[in-house]
Amino acid sequence: MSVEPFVQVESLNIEFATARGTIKAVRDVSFSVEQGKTLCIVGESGSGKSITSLGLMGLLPPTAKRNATRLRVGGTDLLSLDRRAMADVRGSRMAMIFQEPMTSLNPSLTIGEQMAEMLTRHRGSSRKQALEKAAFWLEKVGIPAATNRLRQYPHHLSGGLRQRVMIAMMLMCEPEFIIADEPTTALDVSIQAQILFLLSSLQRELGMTMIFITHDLGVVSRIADHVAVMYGGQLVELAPTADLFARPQHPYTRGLINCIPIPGKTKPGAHLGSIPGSIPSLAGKLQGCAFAPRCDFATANCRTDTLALRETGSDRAVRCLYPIKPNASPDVALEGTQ
Amino acid sequence: MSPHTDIISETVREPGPWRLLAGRMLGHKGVVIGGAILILVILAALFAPLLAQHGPFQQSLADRLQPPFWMRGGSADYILGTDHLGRDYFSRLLYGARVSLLIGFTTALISGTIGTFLGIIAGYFGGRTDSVVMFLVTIKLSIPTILVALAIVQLVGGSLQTVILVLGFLLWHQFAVVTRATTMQIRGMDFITAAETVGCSTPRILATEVLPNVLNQVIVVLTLTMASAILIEAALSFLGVGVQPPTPSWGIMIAEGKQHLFFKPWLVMIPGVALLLVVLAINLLGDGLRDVTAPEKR
Amino acid sequence: MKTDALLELRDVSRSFIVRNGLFAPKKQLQAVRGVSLKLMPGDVLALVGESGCGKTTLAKMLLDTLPPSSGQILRGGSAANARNRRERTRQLQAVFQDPYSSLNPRKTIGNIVSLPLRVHQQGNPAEIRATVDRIMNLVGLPPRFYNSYPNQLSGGQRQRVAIARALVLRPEIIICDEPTSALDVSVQSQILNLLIDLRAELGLSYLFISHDLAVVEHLASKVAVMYLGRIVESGTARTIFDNPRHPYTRALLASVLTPDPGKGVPDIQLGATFPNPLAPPSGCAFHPRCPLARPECRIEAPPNVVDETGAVECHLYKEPIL
Repeated sequence: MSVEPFVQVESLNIEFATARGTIKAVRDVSFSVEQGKTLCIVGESGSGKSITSLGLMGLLPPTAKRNATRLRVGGTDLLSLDRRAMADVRGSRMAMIFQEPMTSLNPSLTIGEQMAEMLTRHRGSSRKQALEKAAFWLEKVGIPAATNRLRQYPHHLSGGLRQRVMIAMMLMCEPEFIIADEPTTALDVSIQAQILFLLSSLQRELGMTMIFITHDLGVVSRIADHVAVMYGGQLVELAPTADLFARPQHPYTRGLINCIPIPGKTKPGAHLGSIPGSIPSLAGKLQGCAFAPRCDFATANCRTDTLALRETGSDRAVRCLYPIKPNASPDVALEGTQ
Repeated sequence: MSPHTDIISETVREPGPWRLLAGRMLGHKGVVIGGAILILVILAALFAPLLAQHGPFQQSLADRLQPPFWMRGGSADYILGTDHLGRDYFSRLLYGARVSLLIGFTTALISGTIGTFLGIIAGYFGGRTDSVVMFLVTIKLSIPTILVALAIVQLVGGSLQTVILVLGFLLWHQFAVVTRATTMQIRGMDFITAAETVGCSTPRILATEVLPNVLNQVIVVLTLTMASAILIEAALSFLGVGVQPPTPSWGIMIAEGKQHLFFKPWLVMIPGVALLLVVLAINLLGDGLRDVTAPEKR
Repeated sequence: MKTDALLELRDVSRSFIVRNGLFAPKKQLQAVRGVSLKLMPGDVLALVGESGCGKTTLAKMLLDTLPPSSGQILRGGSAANARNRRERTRQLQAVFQDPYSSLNPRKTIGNIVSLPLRVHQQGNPAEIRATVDRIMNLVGLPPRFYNSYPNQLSGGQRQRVAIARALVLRPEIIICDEPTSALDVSVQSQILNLLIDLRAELGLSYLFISHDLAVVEHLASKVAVMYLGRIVESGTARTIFDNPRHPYTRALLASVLTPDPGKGVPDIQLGATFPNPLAPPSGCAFHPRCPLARPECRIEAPPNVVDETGAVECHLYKEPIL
């Protein structure tokens, strides 16, 4: 018995019209997420990871053009919804947590007012019920003196606390699906760990499906069930987490893993692996693999052929003409390169 | 040890900041139109001796109050007619342009220098310096410009130089406010700290690190101040306390033509339209420059 | 009195007067409280801490852009004063975090990198140009960037420019303030490798400020951990990473999420309250969040215990480890 994956994205393309021409921010991205699982979308700047999620949620600016052959979340076809219907689905069934909690919270409303509004609007609760639930959730996310907090304004709280408030606000409606876009990047390291711990426990407890966007491979390895690696607007590799780290197939993935210093594994003071060059521009005519200019193994074909995402195993896919074979030389990163 | 060759050669992505600015300026309608008109006026003023058929001071009482050539009674001899003393209106218009532009430029430069200097030191040093400068600005803002200009010029006696100096000292506040704000923004940037770390003296930092970054804003205010200066001068001259006759100033021309307003309206309308056109052009240019230099991406 | 430390801080403090609004009473913000540090030749001393710990203020004092409220900063054994300022700027340079604000957008790369040489009048224009070309080559910048502007370069390239600028006077010490935090991962490793190579080749010492403990572990020879203005633990990198003593250090290390599939996210049990630098907790500043706090931690500030492995300030470690 196969159940339809909770999130299904097929051939998502997003373009922006700018003064300097069309920018193809997202090109032919396809993935799916099973119910209750976490997919991490990993990429650096310009990879299109944030825009993909905005596209999924219907939050793109008017200058953007989105098309896809399939966009389904929880059995609902998102492509057929108009803006109003999409906003309803967003509020009641989906939640999104952004990077900057200060800009997501309304500075002129108290915490209590904002949180209560979520419930009165999407769940039809009374104000009293909403405030009670808000206090309950603030406690749940570990904010001390919850009832006092309801009367405070966002600027009274530190970054970490605000992010917890965001999480509480988003999860209060018990959404089925949550997208978190770099929710901890702007926070201190110790707070980051706490927030991640909170998020992943709540996700398990509520059985939510989660897409987590980040550039941090360490975070990915700890919370993801599956990983989607993006580069230059393209999806270059899809794999279960353990497989991705043990046997990366795309040269970019492997290069990225090799770049990170790992306490206890990489040799201190030795060279870290690196990927030469920099992120490509997304304007103009784009041909072939986005990573080819920086790839050690690129051939002429890599720069001209249109590459498709090919399945290379159970649950794995890669967009590459020469994916790395499983019995290639072991990961050099772990011993430190010289 | 071999140098790092991590960098793969790439084409430089986009033009540098000055080129970008030039490109944007040429693409903006206001800048192009306003700029073109202004350039035409400048050229006309520069080449006045060549273009004018007669001198601006040449009187010919027999030919007084002739209408412009497109009206009945006009001739090709005096394209825009003559004034009450028989002086060629076209020459007076051209030479009047010189006066207006001269006053516009020099006033803007003087007030620009004063205001930019004050604004930069206020923004950079903050604290007491800032309080003092802001206090000066507040005082300046409470002064009714035209009345004070009137009073001073009355006392000292009207002339081109007086007008320029007085206006130069009355129109600097906009510069100060704008450069102060930009300087405060720049103050927190790391390249200023880097310049300090490297051992740059403060005057050097202000001149070579801060100034190039406020120039964008200064140019905008410069053009708009020019427009104000030209208008105020015309007003002062109209009232008789600005440039003195027989120097042709558009304000004076309007004043002298005032009494003939009903039967010989061109005497007022021609310099009036000229004023309108020049100030409009400068304002278009200034607004366009403001659009074009607005938050440049970093 | 000359010591052989390149850079030394003796009991340095810095506080600010803060006023919230026109009629509120003035409060004192103690950003740095009694910090003592020594940077020896060849060290890579990492200053680790999170927001509010005072590392930024400390960096500013080291760079002479902010005077200390009390304490001494010694460079090459002698205290800072106006006369040797020029000399000090040649000895100590900095690389900043934000590659987008550390370069003047209206100046060319060549102009930016040659500025230190021109300020110190090191040679005629031809010699200066030659030095700049050489340094640009050393940091991996193509020579044609000489006439380019910062907006034409990527983040990693700009950071290389910043490094070139810092090197051009041949300093002994470079203060790196989160030099790779604003860069993409693949570019970070390029820059870190560059810093490693430059240190070896030019005999530099670094004061490396960072919140990224994985990078610190890879690069540093010594580590000092800061919390609310004080150094709560310091020692060699090996000691700190293998045997952290202070509970805060341990929590920080536990927060480092290495790529370890299957390990999940640790619960570091630090509690949600965040310290307010304007009203620091009594006794040990860390006690409200400390999982091992004892009654005395609230009352009395812990003594600074120094032994051969390093220094630590915690009531759990009263006696030096022998």
